[in-house]
Amino acid sequence: MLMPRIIPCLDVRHGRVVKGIRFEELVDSGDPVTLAQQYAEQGADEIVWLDIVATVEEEELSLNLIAAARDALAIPLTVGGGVRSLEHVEQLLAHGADKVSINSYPLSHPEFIQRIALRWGSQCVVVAIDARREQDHYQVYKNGGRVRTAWELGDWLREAQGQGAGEFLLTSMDRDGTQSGYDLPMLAYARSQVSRPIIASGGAGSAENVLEVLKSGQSAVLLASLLHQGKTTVSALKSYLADEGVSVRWPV
Amino acid sequence: MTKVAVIDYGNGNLGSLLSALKRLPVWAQVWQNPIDVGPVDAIIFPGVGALGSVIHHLEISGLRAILERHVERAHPVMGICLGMQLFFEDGAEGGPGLGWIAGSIPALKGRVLPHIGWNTVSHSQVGNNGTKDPAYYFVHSYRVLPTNPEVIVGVTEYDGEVFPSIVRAPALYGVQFHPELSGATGHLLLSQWLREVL
Repeated sequence: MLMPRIIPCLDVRHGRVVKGIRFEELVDSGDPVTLAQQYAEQGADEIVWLDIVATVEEEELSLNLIAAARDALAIPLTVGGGVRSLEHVEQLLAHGADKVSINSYPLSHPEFIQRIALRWGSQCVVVAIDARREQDHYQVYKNGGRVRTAWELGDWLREAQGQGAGEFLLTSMDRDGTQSGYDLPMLAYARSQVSRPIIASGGAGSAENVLEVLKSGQSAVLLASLLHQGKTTVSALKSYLADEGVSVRWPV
Repeated sequence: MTKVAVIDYGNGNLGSLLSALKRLPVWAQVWQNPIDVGPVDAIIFPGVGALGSVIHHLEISGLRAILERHVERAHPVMGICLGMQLFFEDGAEGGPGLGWIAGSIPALKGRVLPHIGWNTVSHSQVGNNGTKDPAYYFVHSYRVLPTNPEVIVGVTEYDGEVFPSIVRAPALYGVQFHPELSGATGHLLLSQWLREVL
């Protein structure tokens, strides 16, 4: 039986984990390799690592940290942040990423998804999407939520699937960092549009929120501030889910 | 120390497998071209990418003939994911496999594909601690359909479909999941396989 995935997300800047509210107000939350290892030991099913690198020095630091995380982890590692070339994808994979998450660049260059999929396989491409509700629909944003795109969520999901996306990481900008629960209507809408796995992201404020989204039929959740702020641990969360009758990988 | 060859198709995404092997008492040697080939105790055949391009690389590099000699001599080979699928004859897409075990490679029927995540393996002889079905990490859209069901060692269910997740045809050992990404359970499976075949 397939078990739901509990996926801690590390937002890394200058070699440190940070977390903001609605993509702003970044707060330092620790060393990414140590945190990734802790989460894995507690029963995390995968790790997502997002790092936007601005300079050559940062790039080297970032790749070295990814390689260190790879050696410390025996679970899947997805790495992303500002990826816009096949060379960058190649470097991330060579340093131990199992999958690469792409977000802004493919919105204006959808064929980039296909180029990665053709070379390394669809399973390697996670298309991350930031979207928010606008009147009667969901609109896709890019560049960390700062720039509105012309894409409606369903249109972009179907286009990305057609190009070879293996998986989606869907963040609700309305819920991200608010800890008020996952955006169930947006997730249900996304599920109706594509047949690829979707990782639900944005809004987890309690174990109850996680239970709720899994009971609504979603099979993978991303967690950040809930864990980084020490409100709960992956093990406490999994033991709660197991008590509530959800079949999770627990104890690991 | 035990020497294990890891087949590389030239895509450079062997990181997690090489990291997993570092945690075992083995010396891993990457084979990308015949020039890399040396004496080893076992071969690991990972599988990432598309069936057709992997077969193409094996042919162009000359590794296919080398692998076939090892298989003929019944040297232990572990196929992981696509590597295991390549043991079989006919792929649903991308043409034929290596044809070492009779059977085909049809697409999974699940409504959401790829089948991604941790799933349990039943009736497994290797990697089972005897208390409950172990869970491993899967990522795939195709499955194997062996002609002879006796090669099936373990099975897994996804969206109502039951498919072989571990196969064994004496020296060939194939797993549909990724032991290198399956935490302590995966580590146990790799170490038990190495102990059994050496």
